[in-house]
Amino acid sequence: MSNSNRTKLLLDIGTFLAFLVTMDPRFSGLAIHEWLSIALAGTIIVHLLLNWEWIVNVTRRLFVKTTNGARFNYVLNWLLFIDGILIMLSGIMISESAMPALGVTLPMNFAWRSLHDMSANLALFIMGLHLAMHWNWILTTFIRVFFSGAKKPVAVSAKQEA
Amino acid sequence: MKILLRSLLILSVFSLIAGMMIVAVKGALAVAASMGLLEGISEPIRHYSPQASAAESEFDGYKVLSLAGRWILSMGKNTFVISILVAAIVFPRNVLRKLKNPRRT
Repeated sequence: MSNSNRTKLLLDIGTFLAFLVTMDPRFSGLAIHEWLSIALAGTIIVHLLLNWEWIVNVTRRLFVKTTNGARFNYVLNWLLFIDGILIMLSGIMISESAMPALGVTLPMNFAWRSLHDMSANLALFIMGLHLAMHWNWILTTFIRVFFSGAKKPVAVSAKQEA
Repeated sequence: MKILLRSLLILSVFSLIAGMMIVAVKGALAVAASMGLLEGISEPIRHYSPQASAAESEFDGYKVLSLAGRWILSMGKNTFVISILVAAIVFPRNVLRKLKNPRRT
């Protein structure tokens, strides 16, 4: 198990849990919702940096030689990225806690609020598709990271028996 | 250096798309206003104030429990939506894969 995969998995689990928390501003409170979302932007940048090679490879081969699955995945990732930008931008525009705390006051606009709600609902759907597309990797890496240690004693005892 | 350049590239794409979105929303609002579609729509008011937030944070056991319960339910709903999507895509895909290649586990 490479350290890179372990880092990717742990970061992704953290990002996903934070995403679930930020999806409920009424219950987490507006301040947590806004500051956690800003922190999420940072984790998304790290997520992209960790998967940079894949992004570059698929971009190069997109119209030449790649599978339809990879193409679909690529388009889906772009949609998620654009939707993420829309959520963050509209969130900044309607911010009632984080931006005023930083001394930035923006004029309120009902259009940004509607866009924020719509893009958040869309993000839930695209996130589901994104997870589904990578499910086999997630499951395999999760088992390797969290349960491979439990298998070792069995292997050792099997060797000893032999 | 490589990481810094990549981060700057991501941030510049972010800024470019965000700029396009701001222009698109402003343009759409200007067109809607010129057509008179925005008449009668009032601007939303900011509700958040530090004083109100401090008052809300006073400990009330029942309120906190009720809030936590609703939060768990709401998070459960979101997780359920995502799980349904994942199951709907992953399960048939894995079944098809196994049918195509029965030896692979």
